[in-house]
Amino acid sequence: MTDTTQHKGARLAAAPAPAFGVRVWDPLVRMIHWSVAAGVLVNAAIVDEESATHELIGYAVLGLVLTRLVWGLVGTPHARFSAFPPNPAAAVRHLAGLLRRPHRAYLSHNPAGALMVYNLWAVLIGLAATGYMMGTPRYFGMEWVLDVHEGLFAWLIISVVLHVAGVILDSRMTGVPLVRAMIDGRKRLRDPTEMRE
Amino acid sequence: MKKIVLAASLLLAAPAFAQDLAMGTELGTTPQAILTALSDMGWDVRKVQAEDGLIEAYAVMGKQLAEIYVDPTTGRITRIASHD
Repeated sequence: MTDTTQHKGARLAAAPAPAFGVRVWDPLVRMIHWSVAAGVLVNAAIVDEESATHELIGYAVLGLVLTRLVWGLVGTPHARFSAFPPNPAAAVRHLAGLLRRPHRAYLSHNPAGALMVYNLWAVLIGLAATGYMMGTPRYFGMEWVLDVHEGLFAWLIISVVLHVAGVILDSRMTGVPLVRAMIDGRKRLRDPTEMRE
Repeated sequence: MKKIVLAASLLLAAPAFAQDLAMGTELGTTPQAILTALSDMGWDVRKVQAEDGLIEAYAVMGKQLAEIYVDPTTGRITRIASHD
């Protein structure tokens, strides 16, 4: 008991910034995020692409994405589409303004991050759809279906690289550790007044 | 009665096709020959390509989907992967 208290005290004292943690990502959002990431990693790098396991993981990822889409309508406030509507013009403005200061922190996604989220969902659904088609009598062995599946996969990898780069960049510029927020659900803002939906 | 005979003959006919495609069945040593042989058996051949030193054919018959691997030196089937 005493140990725990001391430990907590030591951690608070050592914290570099005031710990103003806002709960933003609910457990379902976090679980889906990391499960999809793990599914993509396993399907892309580990299992044989012609195996039943590859199909199973693909459908599991599709199920997670579809669940997330429903959650975007009925879920917690920051998880809803209304918290991060797709807005290409705002995304371009956001990226163009990266060199300017100060940088605003967003409670949900920043406009560029929001577009990335929709892009990733669309690509994953496209991968599942073309993957399903390959196993149907109508599209089995059709070269163009395989080409689309592989093209989408290439774009997924590019998207993931851009996504991770964006997370690192945004974390540095706003001082809000985004990876940590996706783990424990809290965004730690340096200045609570700068936060935006 | 006619229907029953028809159904029975269809049931008997289906395995006959499957029997045609067995390990060791000779299809041909070139992609064109393999395509012709499979088509003659009633398969809808979607794609024939080189794969790890073998010739691989994607073929469909009804709801049966098959990836057929042929050794180009012997012209015989070495592996059948069916998804149905």
